[in-house]
Amino acid sequence: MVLNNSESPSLAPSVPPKMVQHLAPIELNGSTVKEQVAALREASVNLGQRLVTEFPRQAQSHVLLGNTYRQLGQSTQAVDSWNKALALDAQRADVYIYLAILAEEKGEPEQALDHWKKVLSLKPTLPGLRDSMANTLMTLKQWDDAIEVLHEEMQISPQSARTHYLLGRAYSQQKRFKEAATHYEKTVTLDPNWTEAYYELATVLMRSGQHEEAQHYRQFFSERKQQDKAGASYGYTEQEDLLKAKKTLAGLCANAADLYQAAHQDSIELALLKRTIILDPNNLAIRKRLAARYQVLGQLPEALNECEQIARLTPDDPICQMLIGSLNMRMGRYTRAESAYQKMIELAPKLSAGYHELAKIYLKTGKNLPKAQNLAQQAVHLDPTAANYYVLALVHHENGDKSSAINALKHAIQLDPGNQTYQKTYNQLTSGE
Amino acid sequence: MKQLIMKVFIQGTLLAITVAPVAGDICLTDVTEQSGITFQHTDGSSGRHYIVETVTAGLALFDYDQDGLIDIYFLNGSPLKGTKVSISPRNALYRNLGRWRFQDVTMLSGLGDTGYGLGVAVGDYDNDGDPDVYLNNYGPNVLYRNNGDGTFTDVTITAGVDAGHQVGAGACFLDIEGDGDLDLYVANYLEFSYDTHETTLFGGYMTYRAPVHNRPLPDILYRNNGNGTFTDISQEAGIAKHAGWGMGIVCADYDNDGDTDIFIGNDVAENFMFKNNGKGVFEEVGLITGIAFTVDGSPSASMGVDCGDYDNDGLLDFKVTSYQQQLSTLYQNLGDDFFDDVTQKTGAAAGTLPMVTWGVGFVDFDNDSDRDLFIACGHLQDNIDKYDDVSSYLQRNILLSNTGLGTFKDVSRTSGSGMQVKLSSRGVGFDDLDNDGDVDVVVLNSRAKPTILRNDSTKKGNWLQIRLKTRNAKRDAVGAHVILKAGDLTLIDEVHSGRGYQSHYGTRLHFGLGNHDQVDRIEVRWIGGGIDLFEKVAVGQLLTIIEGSS
Repeated sequence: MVLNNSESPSLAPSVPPKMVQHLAPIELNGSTVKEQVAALREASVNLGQRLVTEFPRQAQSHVLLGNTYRQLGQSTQAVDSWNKALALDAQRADVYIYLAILAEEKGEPEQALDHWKKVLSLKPTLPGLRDSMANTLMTLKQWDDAIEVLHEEMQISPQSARTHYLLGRAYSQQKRFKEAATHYEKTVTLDPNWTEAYYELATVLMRSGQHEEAQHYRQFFSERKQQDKAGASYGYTEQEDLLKAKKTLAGLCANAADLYQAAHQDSIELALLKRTIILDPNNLAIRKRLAARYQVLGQLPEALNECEQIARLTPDDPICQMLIGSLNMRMGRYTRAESAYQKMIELAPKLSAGYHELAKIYLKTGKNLPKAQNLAQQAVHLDPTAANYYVLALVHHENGDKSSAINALKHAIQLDPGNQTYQKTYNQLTSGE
Repeated sequence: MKQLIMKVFIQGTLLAITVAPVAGDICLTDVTEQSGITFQHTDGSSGRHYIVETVTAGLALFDYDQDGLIDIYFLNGSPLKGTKVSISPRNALYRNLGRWRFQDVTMLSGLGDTGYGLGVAVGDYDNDGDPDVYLNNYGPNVLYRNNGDGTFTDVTITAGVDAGHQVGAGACFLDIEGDGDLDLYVANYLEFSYDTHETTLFGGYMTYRAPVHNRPLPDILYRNNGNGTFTDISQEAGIAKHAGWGMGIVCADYDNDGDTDIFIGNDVAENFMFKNNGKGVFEEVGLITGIAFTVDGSPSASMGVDCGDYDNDGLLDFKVTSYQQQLSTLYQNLGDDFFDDVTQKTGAAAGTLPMVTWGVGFVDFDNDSDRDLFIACGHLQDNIDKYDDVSSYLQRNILLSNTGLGTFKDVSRTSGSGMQVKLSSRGVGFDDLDNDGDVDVVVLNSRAKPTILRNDSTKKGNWLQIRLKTRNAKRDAVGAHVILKAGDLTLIDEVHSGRGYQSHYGTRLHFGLGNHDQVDRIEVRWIGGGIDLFEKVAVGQLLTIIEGSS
């Protein structure tokens, strides 16, 4: 298999050939999983490096390269890239978070704390930040400080099981077992599936002399642990490694697309989004984004194709059917549009949009006008908006019921008095009276 | 200690002065080159990533010829399927000649086993006064009887302790019921066969698979029949019903009730603490005592284990080494059958997070009367550097100095040339190799030469070493418990056979005494119930105590 930008599931590519050549293909043809992973890793680095070459003054390009290195296990290069990003934009709290997490893994809690403090200065209300900071403070045996920031976190995230869990840990380390027990109890109340919290609850209950309760929780923990073990999937397969490598590159492509979009390099942006989908075909968010971008750029066949792919992946999604209907309408493919809206009504009979749009098709084509009236009435019944009244008015008019049309228009104007179209239509209908 | 020549200008004159490198109180100097030790470890690998390659091997420090000098026995791997060698690797015994010179006496001694070495224990199972050796291999295990003339005889079949064809781990001799002879505990790691062997990829690189893919095996407890043979009593002793991925093991009286309990560090699963009822029947109490899991209820990938009283409160604490991104755990013994994971609050895992940690020991390197921690490090994935540079295959070992205030400080960087060596270490042993009153270190490194570290610490306190011998047999009194008092200082220790990462060391108990220039009282509690008391003992000596001699 060769993954490149010219691949498109069914429709001809609209990316100019020049741009296709611009992104090097990833050769995965006939290779082993090991070789495929190596190729994907290399492609990730190449794309990341290309970003910093093309966008050298944008912090985001360096962040993306740094993240790529990190995911590939090359933390030294990652830090180098992140530092370049910070030199361009010192307000990047996300970069300090990456640095903090890395420092933790490297067993450098002092550095991690410095980074957390920086994040705190940039994003003082970021949920969960103080939890991470408290964890580092506890590694540094600064229990009082940890407790202080955790209480601050409770103001931001009062229902955070993790915050209570960490408070339990901090109090436990200070031998304040009763307070610890209170927070561990709150932890398992907020998150009853937190198996390990039962263990720690048992420990502090034991330490505070509540042996019976402690044994109860320890036994409970043991039973849950066995259940967790039975349900756990262990190991890491070659296919998972391949999937991980694909997702790493897919994530980078998606983020790189943002840079090119901002630079108005639409062709490369689209090529990157398409590559993302090839690497991560079940990524609905990217498919939707690509469909939307095609639409904005007027590439309706491509947008439609993408929506149809999404519909295959999520056949029960009424909004997807609405988009398919809308695109077909814009392309003058009324029969297909009709079919999509009918499906939408089947999937979401309580949504007025399907009835509304289908009625509009019949108005546009001049067929099934009595049915269109029923549809428009159903839309108004479900959702008495100005737009639905307006379509109902048009249908009444087409069916020769001028009085009902005027009546519906009055409703529309009442709901949206500033709408010139409604007023103009009303004037036209009433001028001959 | 290596010295640096620094050139400085003083009043226009170039002077060369000699200065010592910055060092802390503890200094461990790498003396491998001068030792004459040429042993080279092999894991028998050929790139196929068989899981057994990752766990070889331990070592033993013991005085095999009873000449008063501690000798060194290295375990070795052997060629696995697909590996071709011209000369079979074998275990190696080095006789200590004194003055840091060692002689390879493997062939003379008959200890050159060519099996796939994993764990070792030393104990005088036949009560004839000299130490015998048990090898826990991948494949048949071996019991070597010491003939008392510097040679050994393989008595495995006669003794009935070959344990079948399994992947072994640590082993320990202990007297489970106080009948005066040493029984044998044999830990097992996992089920392995070439037919079912698989590897996996990580970052596109072939790696060893996690042990969870291989079924864990129960351990074996052999009762010594007193006639040179053993009987497998794993079922009736309550051992066989527990299967874990056994690794390091240490047998110790954690609850101070006078009998020897068994602690096993299990890889990727909860640890086992087998509590002895005094009659050789055991109950697994890891969960209820709090030593099965880490503080957060997680199992660790336990590797090596050791025990020692780090806080001098009269109770044995336990240390368990583990995998990368797991803290090497310290369990404080609170008494009343309860342990507390104090890793974070004591700093006993400083520097270990990116490391894979193996051999471990509670050792008072500077004789200041509290036990420091030495932790052997080295990744098991030989290509980890290529896909995760937070860690590395070759790693520095870690030395944590006990502050005496219940905490540890990482002094690895300032503790001599021996702590700067970067290899992939496994088993490690601690003993006074030059009989100068401080504890030296021997490290077995995977796929490399070992490292011999001489203790050159300058600011050292007083010390006392004690060798405990049983009454009749005069064998090393495995399981005997010492309580030593000097002024307001109380120290405890026990004689263990098999400990750390599948290793054996420390038969002579070493006590650092700080400024105390006399030991006021020594109490020895022998297995079987006897107690001996000694008062006003001089420091700075190796004291041999025979049971019943007070």
